[in-house]
Amino acid sequence: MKAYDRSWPKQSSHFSVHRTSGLDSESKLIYSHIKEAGNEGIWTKDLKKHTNLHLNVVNRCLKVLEQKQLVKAVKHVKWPTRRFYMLYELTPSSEVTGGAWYTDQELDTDFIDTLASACYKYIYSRSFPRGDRNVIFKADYGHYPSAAEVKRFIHEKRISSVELSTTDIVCLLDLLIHDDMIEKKMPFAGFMDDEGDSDMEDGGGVEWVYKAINRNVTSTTASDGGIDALSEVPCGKCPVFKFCTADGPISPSNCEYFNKWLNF
Amino acid sequence: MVKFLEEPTLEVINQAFAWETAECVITGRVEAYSCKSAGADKKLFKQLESKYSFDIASSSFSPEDRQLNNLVSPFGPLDQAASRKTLFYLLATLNAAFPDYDFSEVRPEQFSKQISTQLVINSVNTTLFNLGNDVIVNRYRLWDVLDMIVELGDCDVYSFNPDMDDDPMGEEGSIWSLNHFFFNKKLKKIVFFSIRSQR
Repeated sequence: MKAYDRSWPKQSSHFSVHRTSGLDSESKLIYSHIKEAGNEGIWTKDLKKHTNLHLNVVNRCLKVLEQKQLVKAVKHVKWPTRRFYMLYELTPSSEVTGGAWYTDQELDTDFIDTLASACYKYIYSRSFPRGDRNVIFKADYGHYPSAAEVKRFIHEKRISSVELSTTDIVCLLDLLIHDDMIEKKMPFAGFMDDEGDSDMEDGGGVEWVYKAINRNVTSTTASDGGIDALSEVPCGKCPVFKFCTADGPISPSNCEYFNKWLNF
Repeated sequence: MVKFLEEPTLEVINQAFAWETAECVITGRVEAYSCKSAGADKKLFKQLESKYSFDIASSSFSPEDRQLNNLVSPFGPLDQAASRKTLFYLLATLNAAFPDYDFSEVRPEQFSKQISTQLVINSVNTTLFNLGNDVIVNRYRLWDVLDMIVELGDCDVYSFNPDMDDDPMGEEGSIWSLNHFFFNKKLKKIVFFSIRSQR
């Protein structure tokens, strides 16, 4: 093993020249194309195209490079059957692995569900005074959690063994929004101080906050599940819908269901 | 492993296996392979054996649904060596036919076993005729040629129905594809018949 020599140039190109110096020219060519692809990896079809080498030659070179542990085969989450290669020492990018949500090229739905549920519980706990969902905070309540705070919670409680980025957390929160569990709100103006610790994107990035939706508010009589916009309005479940006209004995203006619904 | 067999009669058919219709471009291929023992594909063979033997071992304690489901396949129960062998040959054939792809992780459920060879022949004929091509069947005598190579009467026919992501023919602009394997266990030969339609 070569002793560490301080005068040895630290450029990586010198190191890789050293490692590939024993290879034939075709293998060197293949190696350089794989190197160029970085941690995105390169498909064998593209390797053939760029090097103009015959498939048998490409395969032979790949075998040699693999044996020398210079390159490795990787699976791409988008195209799991394509043969991809990258340099042995590189970590595949999240494009290739699918990122936090994929384990072994498969969407890890259990992981996602567990995390989403944990995020929801945390947001819920900060969405209602004293944890009572029949009570709501005033309009100027400034402590609904932001994505960054949810991320901190998840991290502190070690709910995920994988490190999650704020973008990952926002993905989970979007999931909850689409499932009608939480809503995204503009933080109350008084809450925004000038600390400037959140990333400001162009357009003056807003640090959204999240609040759990209290589903009980929308209807006191409906059973769980299957509530959509149309059935939220009393007309959707009205037993005398057919008789209701603007000027008749039964009309929207004297509707008792509306009164009840609007008095939440 | 499987070894590609040079068959001049198939070459003729393959030459004719590309044409255009008003809406799409049709390309296809017919190839014959002979089945050898693991050989160069030892890695694939070991991979499959360990994948499914693991399931067998754990199912001997208490058969959870999951383990049981893993055993059932279009090739027969996967705890039988013969079923695993068939899967192995089909995957090796796909790897040989599409060298830029690696099908070793393809699940058995993406294959189906056809109940009768005659039904497959009929459906292929209908497909080809509807696409405006009767030359392959009538002039180049597709089925007679295949019969000479692989004795269709003794074949099991399997079809590959890949997910979008696994389909080497599901690339840009691809509309549909059809993939059949005519497998004669006795002769240890497979004919791979593949046809696809693209914009």
